[in-house]
Amino acid sequence: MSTINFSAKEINFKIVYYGPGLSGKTTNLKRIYDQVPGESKGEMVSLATEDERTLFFDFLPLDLGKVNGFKTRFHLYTVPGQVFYNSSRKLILRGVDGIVFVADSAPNRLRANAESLRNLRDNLTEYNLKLSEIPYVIQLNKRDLPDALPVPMIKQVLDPKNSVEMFEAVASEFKGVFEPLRAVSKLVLERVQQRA
Amino acid sequence: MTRLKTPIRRTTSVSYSAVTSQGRAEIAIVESQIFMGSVIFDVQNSNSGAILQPMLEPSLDLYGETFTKVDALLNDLLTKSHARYTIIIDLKGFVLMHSRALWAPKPPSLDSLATLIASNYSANTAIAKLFGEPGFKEMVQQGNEVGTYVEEIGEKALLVTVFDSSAALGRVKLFTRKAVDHIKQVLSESTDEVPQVEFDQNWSDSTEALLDGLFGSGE
Repeated sequence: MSTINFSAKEINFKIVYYGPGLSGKTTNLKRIYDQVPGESKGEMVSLATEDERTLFFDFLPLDLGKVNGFKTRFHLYTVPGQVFYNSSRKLILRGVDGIVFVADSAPNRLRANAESLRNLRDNLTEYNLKLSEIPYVIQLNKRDLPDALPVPMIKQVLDPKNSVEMFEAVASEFKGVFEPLRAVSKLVLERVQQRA
Repeated sequence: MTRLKTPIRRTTSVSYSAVTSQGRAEIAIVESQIFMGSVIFDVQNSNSGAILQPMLEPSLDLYGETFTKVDALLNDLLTKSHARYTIIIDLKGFVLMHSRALWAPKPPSLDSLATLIASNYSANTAIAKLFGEPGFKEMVQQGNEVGTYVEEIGEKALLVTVFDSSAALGRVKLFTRKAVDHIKQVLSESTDEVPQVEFDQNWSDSTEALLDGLFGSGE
């Protein structure tokens, strides 16, 4: 649930990038950091292993700007994708307002995508949350792979009801990186207004 | 205007209704992830009928006179403990308020500090639970020059005291604990009105324009 800080006049939202290991969650944040102008971003923090795998999380604060005197801020997080870091993933989901699920288009990662999505649902349950009730979009990353799975095939596995916005991306080349972030941010803000 | 205030339990999906002078309004709280505390809704009347205004989630009720009093307590803590900075953060890693000693160097990014401390606190609590403990009693880090000491403010927030070698750890602990007690007391006695924030169409349009400005229009 979003946090409002009356003293600092800030409304803060937490967006989490979730997905299987090596699907490109950290790459998304790095590209966002590269592309967002200096005055709109804070420091990026990465807690990673020596071989640059996410150990706990990556963190990037973004300032959207002021509306009605209140600064609107998004805190972006990634989770560690590797299966055995589930305790860390659970902790990062605390207070989540929106989720970008980063799926891997490689044929041998279809099952990992599905398992990660199931893991996301399970972890949200620990906070009494349902994925269907949280602003949520899917990014299909690595579309430049020569053997990338067809979009309908991945969609059939991750979103058979066709209820979630999906974006094709090559995050390493900054293709399709801003679009899912913009979409999930919009959903998060709409939700605040709906609740008002 | 009618104010409804109700405690939230962790697992509930509940609804409440209120009758205002202009008619009946119903409130549904579908997701409740606050562990303890309350959520406040204001029921206002307008031409289009009753408007329910959820106040999002103030992590601590820090505004008005309460804010001023807590700010004074943070400054008092700095003076008495000889610490560099005192920061109140919520458990999601957002900075709620902070204070800096006049002599202290510029602090590092408070967003980064708050996120790392909140995550560290969560990880430590998870470790404690592995051993059947509700949590660890102390969270202190000491480097060659700088250290941090963290105390819980109830179940929603943390008070972080950042100190250096000019301050004794025992003194930092003592005055941080005292400050937490005083802050809890101020919060419990607070009668401040919750400030209003308008989430109207104008707010929606403006935030969308800002999104377009930062990320492109997506078209």
